[in-house]
Amino acid sequence: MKNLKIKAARALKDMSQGELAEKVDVSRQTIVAIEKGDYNPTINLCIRICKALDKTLDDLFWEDEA
Amino acid sequence: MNMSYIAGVLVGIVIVLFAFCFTKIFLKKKGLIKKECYDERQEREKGKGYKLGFFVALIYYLLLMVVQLSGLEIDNGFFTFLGICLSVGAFAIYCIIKNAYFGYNQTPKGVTILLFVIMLTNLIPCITALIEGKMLRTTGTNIVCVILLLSVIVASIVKNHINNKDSER
Repeated sequence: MKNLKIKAARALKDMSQGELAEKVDVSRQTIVAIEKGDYNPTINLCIRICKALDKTLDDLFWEDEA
Repeated sequence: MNMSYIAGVLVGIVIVLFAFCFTKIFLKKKGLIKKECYDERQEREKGKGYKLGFFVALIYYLLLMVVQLSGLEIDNGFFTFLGICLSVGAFAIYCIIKNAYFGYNQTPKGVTILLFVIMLTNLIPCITALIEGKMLRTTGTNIVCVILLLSVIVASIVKNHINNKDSER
């Protein structure tokens, strides 16, 4: 499932996928895969992404109930 | 297989190793090559790549065994080497497609130059043999190396171009 919350949080901080990737020590393609929903990151990577975007785990990775 | 052929193969391997080490040191000094770091997704895809390479080798050597049992006379050394190259090639191209061949802290440029240099060191004996009119008989393994390295180089250039086109503006 696509993760549009990360994309929105990035846009708020005016951060590109490459910049976020550099901040959390992953490749840009990994960020692309996470946003597309093609890859589920480990909890450690989720935490690093949250810290880089100043968001909580719930903000970025909790699924909204339908 | 006479001693001069074996000596030639050994000298060839030493030359390739020299070219590899020299080029790697040069590229490191220029900052084009760094110690590669892979993120968790890349490590996972590399694992799948190793599995693919393993199964390609397994199937290939099973088929080779069947061919040998059928009584067909083939050059064992060459076909064994071909199997290794096919397996390595499968791993490399899978990882390139999944963006897991180069570390996240690397640019493809340095590694591509290194592969190109190794390809050239294998191409030279092929050209020499072609001029002397004894191409396939003595340079089969070199030709396989050239094809493998060329495939990896072309795949990485194409993938890099696609990645650059897809990157956010």
